[in-house]
Amino acid sequence: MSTEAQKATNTIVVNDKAILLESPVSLTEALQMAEQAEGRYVVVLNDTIVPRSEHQSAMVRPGDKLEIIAPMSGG
Amino acid sequence: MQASSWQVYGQTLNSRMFIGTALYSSPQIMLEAIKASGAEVITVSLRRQSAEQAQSGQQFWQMIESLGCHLLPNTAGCYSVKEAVSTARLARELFETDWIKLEVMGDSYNLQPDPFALVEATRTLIAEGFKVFPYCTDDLVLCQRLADLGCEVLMPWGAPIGTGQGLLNPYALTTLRKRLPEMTLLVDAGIGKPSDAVQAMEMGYDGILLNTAVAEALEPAVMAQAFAQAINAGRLAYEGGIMPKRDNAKPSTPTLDQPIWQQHVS
Repeated sequence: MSTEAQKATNTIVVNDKAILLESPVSLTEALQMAEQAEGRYVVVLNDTIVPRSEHQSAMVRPGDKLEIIAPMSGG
Repeated sequence: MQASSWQVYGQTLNSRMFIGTALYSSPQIMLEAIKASGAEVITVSLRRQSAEQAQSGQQFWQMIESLGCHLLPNTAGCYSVKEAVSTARLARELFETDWIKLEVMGDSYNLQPDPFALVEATRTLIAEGFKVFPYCTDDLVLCQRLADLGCEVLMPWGAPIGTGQGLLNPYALTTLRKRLPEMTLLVDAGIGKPSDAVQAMEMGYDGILLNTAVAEALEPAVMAQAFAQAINAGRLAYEGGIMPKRDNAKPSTPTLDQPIWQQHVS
């Protein structure tokens, strides 16, 4: 197995940052691993928005991609 | 005296000014300007959170929340239907509102809305239950199409975003007002100074959305008050009924029973 392929099987990517994950965890746990602080944000798991009410039940697996979207100023 | 209150997607508002939260030199100045404006609707946006900006993003959110205003998230930076629809869905989840200021740009030079993509994105979002506030050009047919789709509010530009050039096409904006008399219309973008806002409000526009003209003023809070007063004055003038222009002079002082030496033969 190539290094890249191996990396894909034991990491998740959170906003372009790779985090080691060897077995499935809940999204809540994955956010804790990513040191995501409490606050206003929305999570996109593999291009699907995950409502906050489903963070505990949604599962994150090695190879998954998470995007964390936050408020910003706008005109 | 305060102009009449109005309705936006079922919400009663007293201020006719929407204000943006971008471009201020500091968060505190932003807060002061928004408070001074009296605006009850503020525009916001969203972005991927980076490690460096995580804290500032949450601070921004806390400040915005403290204002207690209605939030109008935008889809700024989107150039396709797909991007705009995805951003709108994220905004609904993030800000817990189905209001969306729909921006789909067609050209990066003047940030002109893409009318074709705008109509398509509007159709999709209305079907999903969004209350769409489309940022559009002043094209009458485009605006009619957006109204036909179910938009209760339209936001034609006065001039390209951030230019401060005022109302570049008063004819088109006046025509829109005449042809869509029941539609809630706001001029969004291009407003540079309070007199631009007065001009739009005197035409019968229901409100003004602006950002740069306040944020880039030397004293944003002072300018916000100037705009608030101008927008209110323009609306009062519209409600008061502006006299028609005429070519010939008409004396304002009655001429009946003038002294003999003031009586002129016309």
